[in-house]
Amino acid sequence: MPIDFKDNNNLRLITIDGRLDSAGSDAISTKFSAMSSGAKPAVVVDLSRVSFLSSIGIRLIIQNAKALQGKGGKMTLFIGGNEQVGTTLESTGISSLVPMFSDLVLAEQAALA
Amino acid sequence: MALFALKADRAEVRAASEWLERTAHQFDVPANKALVLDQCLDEILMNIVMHGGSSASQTPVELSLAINATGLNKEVAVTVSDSGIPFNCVEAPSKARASSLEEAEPGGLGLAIIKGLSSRLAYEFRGGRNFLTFAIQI
Repeated sequence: MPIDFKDNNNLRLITIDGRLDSAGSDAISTKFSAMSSGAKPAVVVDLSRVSFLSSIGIRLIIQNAKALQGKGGKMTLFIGGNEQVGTTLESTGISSLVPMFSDLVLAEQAALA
Repeated sequence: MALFALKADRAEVRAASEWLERTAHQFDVPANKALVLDQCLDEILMNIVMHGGSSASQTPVELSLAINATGLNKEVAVTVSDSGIPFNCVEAPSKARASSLEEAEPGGLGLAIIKGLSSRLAYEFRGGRNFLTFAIQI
């Protein structure tokens, strides 16, 4: 379950690849928390290559988004053309709490706002 | 109809997902619909593993997949049967949506996913077992 990040000034782009079910979430949990811990105030999480997003994966996103917000930062989600992930996020209402974008530039702008 | 059995164990949930993918393909279920089924099945199995209690692990969790066609309507239905604590997720209230990230709690979203993605949900408790059927139109 690959997870990696790239920094650009005040923004960190975290990319997650693969299946975010319970096993996948367990595999990245510690790294995800460390990467979104506030080293950069603006974080975009790229879910465009996530093949499967379970409620446990969403739980991870919420936990880290809340922690980042508590430190004065902001997290947004980039889903690209990933309809499955978008539908799952919308069905839980999470997309209204952690903004979700199909366009990476808009996701970055929102995180930096 | 296709059948599969697994232990109520976190480590076996992916095996169930792989069975579902193979079986959906055998029954010519479109890949995007199979993904929706996978989503629902994962949530239901994790609910059993995490909240089913000790009785859930006393017997295998049993899965079945069937294609139902009536008139122009066609659906793929998956039934999950377990011996865990009786839980009727059809009547269980979905968690109220948080209005802000501050008040959002990380858990309790599985039910929203199941109800949001499936076109039909049915539950009964019979012979000491939960039977939950979820279906999507194909």
